[in-house]
Amino acid sequence: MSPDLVHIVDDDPAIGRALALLARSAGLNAISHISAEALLASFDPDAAGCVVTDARMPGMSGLELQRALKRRGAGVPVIVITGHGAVSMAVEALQGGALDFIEKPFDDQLFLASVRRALDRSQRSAEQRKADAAVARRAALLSAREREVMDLIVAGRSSPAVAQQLGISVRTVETHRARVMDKMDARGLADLVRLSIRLERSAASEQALS
Amino acid sequence: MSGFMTSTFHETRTSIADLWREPRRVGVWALFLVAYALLDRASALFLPGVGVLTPWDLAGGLAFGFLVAEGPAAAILVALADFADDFLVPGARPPIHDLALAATVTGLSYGLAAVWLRANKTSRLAGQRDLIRLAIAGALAALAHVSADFLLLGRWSLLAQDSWRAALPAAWMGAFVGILIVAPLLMLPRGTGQPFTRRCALEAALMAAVLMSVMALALRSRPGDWFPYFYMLFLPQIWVAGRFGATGAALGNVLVQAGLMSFFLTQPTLRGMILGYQVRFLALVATILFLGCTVTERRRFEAALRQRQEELARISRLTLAGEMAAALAHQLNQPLMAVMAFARSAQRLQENGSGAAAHEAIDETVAQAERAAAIVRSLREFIGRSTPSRAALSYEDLLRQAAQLAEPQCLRAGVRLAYEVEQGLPEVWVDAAQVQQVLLNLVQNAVDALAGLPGRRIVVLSARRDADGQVEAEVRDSGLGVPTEIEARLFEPFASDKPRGMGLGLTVCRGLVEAQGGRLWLAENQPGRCAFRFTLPVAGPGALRLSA
Repeated sequence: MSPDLVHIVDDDPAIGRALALLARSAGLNAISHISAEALLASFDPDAAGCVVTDARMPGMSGLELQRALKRRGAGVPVIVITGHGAVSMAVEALQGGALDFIEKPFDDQLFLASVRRALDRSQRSAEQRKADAAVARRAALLSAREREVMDLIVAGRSSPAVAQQLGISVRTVETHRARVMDKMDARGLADLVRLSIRLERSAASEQALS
Repeated sequence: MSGFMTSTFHETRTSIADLWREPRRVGVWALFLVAYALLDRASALFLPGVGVLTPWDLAGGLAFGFLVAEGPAAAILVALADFADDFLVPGARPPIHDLALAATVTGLSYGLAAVWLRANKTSRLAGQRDLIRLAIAGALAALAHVSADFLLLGRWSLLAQDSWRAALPAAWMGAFVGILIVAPLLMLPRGTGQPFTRRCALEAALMAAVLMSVMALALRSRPGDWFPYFYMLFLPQIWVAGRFGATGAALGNVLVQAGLMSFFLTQPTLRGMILGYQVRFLALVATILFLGCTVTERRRFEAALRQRQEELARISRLTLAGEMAAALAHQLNQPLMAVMAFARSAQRLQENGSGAAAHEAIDETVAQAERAAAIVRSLREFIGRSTPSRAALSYEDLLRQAAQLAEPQCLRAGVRLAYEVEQGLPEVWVDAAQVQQVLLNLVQNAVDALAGLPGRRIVVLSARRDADGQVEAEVRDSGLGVPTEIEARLFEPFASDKPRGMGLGLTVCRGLVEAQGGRLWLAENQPGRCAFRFTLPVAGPGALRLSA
């Protein structure tokens, strides 16, 4: 399933219906929810393109929803809409990672442009996540020794230097190296370096989320 | 002396040099000199030849009040006046340097007293504090003035040497009483928020008449018993001071003083009693002034309080208008937003060739525009420009419709909505939209009250006939009830205990129920059972029948 579903959260059902219809009329997939709790109850991060939420709602507010999504590790872009444009609220929303902050009533162009930007962002990060996952899957196939060898090679050591550091023969290092290149599906040293950087970055961002 | 005064006290810019540039002030000063001379003569009439000893030093009192009003620069004028009048006293005259020294002490002591009073912002008798300061300053200044006169001029008077111990206190009392009588006239309070109307003038005239009649009684004397009815004078004076405050007290005192003076002038044989009489008179003057100042002070506080309350009321009216405007803006913003989005959707759907969907979107657009119109209409009704459109309706139908509207909200909050309506309830004569608004508002409040509570959460809508034959409707919830601190002002605007509530809901509800001719109240308030009830008038035989 491609992550292009626009979630609209507003306690006023008419607004929810209207915005969902507007998105659909522009060829997007959209669904509306009556509250933040309702969205969270049925939320599928893999299918989520973006979330458009009213700032003020009874129960969980839009900003609280934004935080809750972040806590769940769903990197879904959030657009906050509001009827009372308070600067402090806008600042808080944007600092909390909201992609956009729009004041009601707004023009369809503005709304759709913002939603498209969010979906685009979502699409790209989904692709990135997919690529990250593929690299991680491949890296998981490496044995501990192979992993050690890869880390040293990527750090710029030559095979004899690696052999000396690990206390094994140069020949064995060469064997490991060939297996690493094979398992990681790297087309050369430069490619391996790139994969290793991606691996580190996604590990770091996962750590940041947890 | 004048140089010293003007350089030290900036409050008064008057010096002798400046004086000639201000003709009005020259007039005031000249008037003072004339009045001083006249009062001094009048006071001296009672003990001819004894310049130092007057039973009531009215001229001194005038000088004191003049200094407080005009500023201490006038002290030189006071000294000059004192000197001139002593100089002009017939009979044996003390040497000029003694006269000059005594006059200087008088000007200086009264001037210093005035400086102190002015520095303490006591140039007007606005309260008890002012009077106490006046009394302290007056008593000390009088003592200094009388002592100097006795030391420097006493031996030239006709007093026997052995009687000065008795004469000094008497002279002091005379000077003090003079200050308490005349100075307050120049220190009358201002701005007590009480306009002087015709009625006030009549009252004042009546008071003066009563005061003079009582005086005629009080001044009757029998041999061996001095003025047994003197204390009667307190009664009309208390009346005057209680009614007109410090101003009334000061004027009343002057009137009594004038009466006394004319009495003693016509009764030369009684002049021996004057000194003994002073003590009682001082008590009267001081008591009445104190009462007058207390009344003035209270009036002043009351006026200030009233002004503040008016300000607060104005501010709260403004705030109410602002809050209403903000709430209205939000209320209208929602359907407007929906209208915009639906209309644009319709446009796009039309362009894409999905005509049926576009048609639906246009229906939605119209529905939202109607919603906006309904808000504007209900606002008009709230303001009262439009009368409710009433009809004979079944309350049960109204209730069912309101329940349908409230249903989704109750479901979301996990609240059960039940209704029980008595059989055979008559139709009510009401505006359907307004009654539904009341019901929805009360249900909304009940749902809010139940949010987050454990156990059974239920809202019961019920109705029955009350003793007067009206329909009595009830909205009851199983929540904790209204907090007691809110209960008293529950129906006032902004009495909300909800973090986001404006506190207008119940105010509006009460207004709407009253517009139908009913009333709304909190009938039960205890944990587990909180009920609002309202009555609705029953439709009469002539009522227009409509299906709801």
